[in-house]
Amino acid sequence: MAPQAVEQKKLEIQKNLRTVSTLLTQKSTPAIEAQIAKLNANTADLESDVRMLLEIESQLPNVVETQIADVKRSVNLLPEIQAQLIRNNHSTTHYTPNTDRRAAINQAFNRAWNGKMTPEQRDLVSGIDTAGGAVVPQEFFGSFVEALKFYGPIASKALLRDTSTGRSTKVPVVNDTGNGFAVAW
Amino acid sequence: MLLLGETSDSGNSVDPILFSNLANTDALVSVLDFSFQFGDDVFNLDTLLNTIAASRTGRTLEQAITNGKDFAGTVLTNAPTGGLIAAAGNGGTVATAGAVSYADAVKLFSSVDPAYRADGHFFAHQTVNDYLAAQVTTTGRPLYKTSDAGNLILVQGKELLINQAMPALTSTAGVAQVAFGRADKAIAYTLRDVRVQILEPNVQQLTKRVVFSVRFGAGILDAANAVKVLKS
Repeated sequence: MAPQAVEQKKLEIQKNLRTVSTLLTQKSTPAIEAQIAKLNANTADLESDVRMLLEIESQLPNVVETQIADVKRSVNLLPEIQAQLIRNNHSTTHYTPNTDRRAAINQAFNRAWNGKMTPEQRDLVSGIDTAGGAVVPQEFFGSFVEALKFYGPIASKALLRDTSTGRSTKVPVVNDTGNGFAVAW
Repeated sequence: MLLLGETSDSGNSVDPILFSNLANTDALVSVLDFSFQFGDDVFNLDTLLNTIAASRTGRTLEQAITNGKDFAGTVLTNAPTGGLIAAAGNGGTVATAGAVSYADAVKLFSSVDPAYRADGHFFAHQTVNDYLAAQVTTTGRPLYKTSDAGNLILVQGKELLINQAMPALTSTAGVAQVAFGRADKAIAYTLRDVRVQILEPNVQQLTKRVVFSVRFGAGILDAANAVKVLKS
């Protein structure tokens, strides 16, 4: 029985005790006897559940230790495999446990932590309808990702005059570079 | 006091040379159609259209200023023929066909009057840029340093800016490979704001049409002196 259920039983017994106390005050004998019988039944159930919980609790460390020992034995095999690879002139840096042994290790871990791991769950694959994608909602990025192709900054280096009309514009140029002062004119 | 007319000369006067260049304009357009469905579903339509308009304008201006052509390569009716590259002065010829050496870059740099070297830039196609970036010294180190902006520095701290409208690296003789100088003293251009207009829907085709348009005009300034071109 789960601890929550035990607690619930306890509350129920306390409630019955309060009822019995009330009935004693009222001196109602048949009702008292009925409540006492009910109380005795609940007490027996509760004692049974407590005994069961204590037994489970006493066995739990042994189970965990056994499973951890399994894992350790599996891990201890790795140096032996590495040594064998070295003997076969293989580089240990590329060693990967074979699939069966890795699966055994994973299985041992799972047994050791049974009941403490999250239950199995299957993630939806959004891109495959048959894998649940049919019910996965889609979203868009909030902006376009623009493909780029370079163009140079010549427009920012040349002389620009913004116009509001787009009409032709006369550009005057003065060149006085050939002239300067002389001692006489 | 003698008042002189603008076309008169006292005999001792040394007058500056005055001239002007008319930046006649061309209308440049680009069209985009989208379906009613697209218009209903798409998000940020305004941002998308503005981004497209800006990118197309930038690509087109590079061609128009550099070569006097539109993005498709068609010669603009009113722009200066050949654009900036055709108007630029002679900056020499490369020593080896299909290559641009450091000596070539110095030759080009030296051909420009020092007044135009300040604030001047080198311009070249990406392939020329990449060729120069690959040049190494005898000890295997990069020949050209880079600026904080990531551009190659060719001569005396002057950066090389990529201009995709310039010709690619080639061994064909007479093709502009690198330009150097002050572009703002060589060419002026006018631009009316880029317009993005969505026309009335075409109910037969269930589409809407977007017209991007800009008016572009360019005039040559002191291009022969302000910018020089190194040719293959």
